[in-house]
Amino acid sequence: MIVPVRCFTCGAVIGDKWYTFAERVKKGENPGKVLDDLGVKRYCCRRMFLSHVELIDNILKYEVATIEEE
Amino acid sequence: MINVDPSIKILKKEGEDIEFLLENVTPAFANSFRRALLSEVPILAIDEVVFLENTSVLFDEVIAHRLGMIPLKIDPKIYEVLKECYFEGKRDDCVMLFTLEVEAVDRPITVTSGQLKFQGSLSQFPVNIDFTIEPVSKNIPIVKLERGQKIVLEAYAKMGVGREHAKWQPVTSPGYKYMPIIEILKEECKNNECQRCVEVCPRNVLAITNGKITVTDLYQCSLCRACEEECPDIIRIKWDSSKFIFKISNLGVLPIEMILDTALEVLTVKSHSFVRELEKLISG
Repeated sequence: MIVPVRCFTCGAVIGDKWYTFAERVKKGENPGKVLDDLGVKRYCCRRMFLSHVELIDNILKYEVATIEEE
Repeated sequence: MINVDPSIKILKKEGEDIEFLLENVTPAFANSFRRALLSEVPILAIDEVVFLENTSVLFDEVIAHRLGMIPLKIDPKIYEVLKECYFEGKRDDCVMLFTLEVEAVDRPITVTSGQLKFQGSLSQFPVNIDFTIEPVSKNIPIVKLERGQKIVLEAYAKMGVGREHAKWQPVTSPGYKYMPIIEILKEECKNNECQRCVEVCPRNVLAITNGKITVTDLYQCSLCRACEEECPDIIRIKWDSSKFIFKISNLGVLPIEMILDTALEVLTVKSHSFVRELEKLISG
């Protein structure tokens, strides 16, 4: 749905780094290098980024539809 | 048995990460120290949330959980008072209030931890100190709002320990390893026969200088023994089980020194009460 606040395994804060990560990867950068840059070292935290899908944006689309109907 | 006093030597401190050497202790002590760091140091975290309005796509409880997971930076000067509150069992007397009120008017927005407003303590502290408590990072997303959606809430932060819930953990993943001892059995290396022993190391701990194998970065050794397996006649890996290399990454809630100090304090208090109970059993 939305990025988790912390890494499930170690508890490090990852939420604040997601949008920078997503933006840079979208521009074509290597995800591994971006994670190194952001200081995400442990593989537990790295998988949080690599496996996350920001689904909330898709749900918000339908919210727009309801607002416009009203 | 170890008869020398334990000591701590800081090896490396980079930002929130710390590496230190704990000497003259037993493995049992090192582990109880690690566990105390994770689960016995009390800190603040949002524990109760009152929703006044929530028209976002996330349920109240999901948002409340996300709020709880946000680490709160505690002013070091107020920490002693808060700690006292927790240890004396009066955690409901030290409650911090935060409010959040955001509405997406003309465009969709992401509500972040920076928008949480600290409203002060709910109770009067015995000492008159001016302090603030704020999230460690201002950019943690809480929820996304589409136009016309609104969220209004009150959040109450309480003291607690990691034993109860992971949101009260002051550090992430404290880990330790034994102090490695790398013995080079054969001094001279002829015809590059040692090259393979050095290259097999995944952490580049070894190097060849002037035809001899040398240890360049002992603390990096993970005791994987790949070099020993490759060259059993040249290298032997041992470890010192009274010395531990600790690696801790801090969340930024408190200075790491204060966390280490509190963990040791909790361990001391617990051991003392254990001894007292034992004495009661013997005498009674």
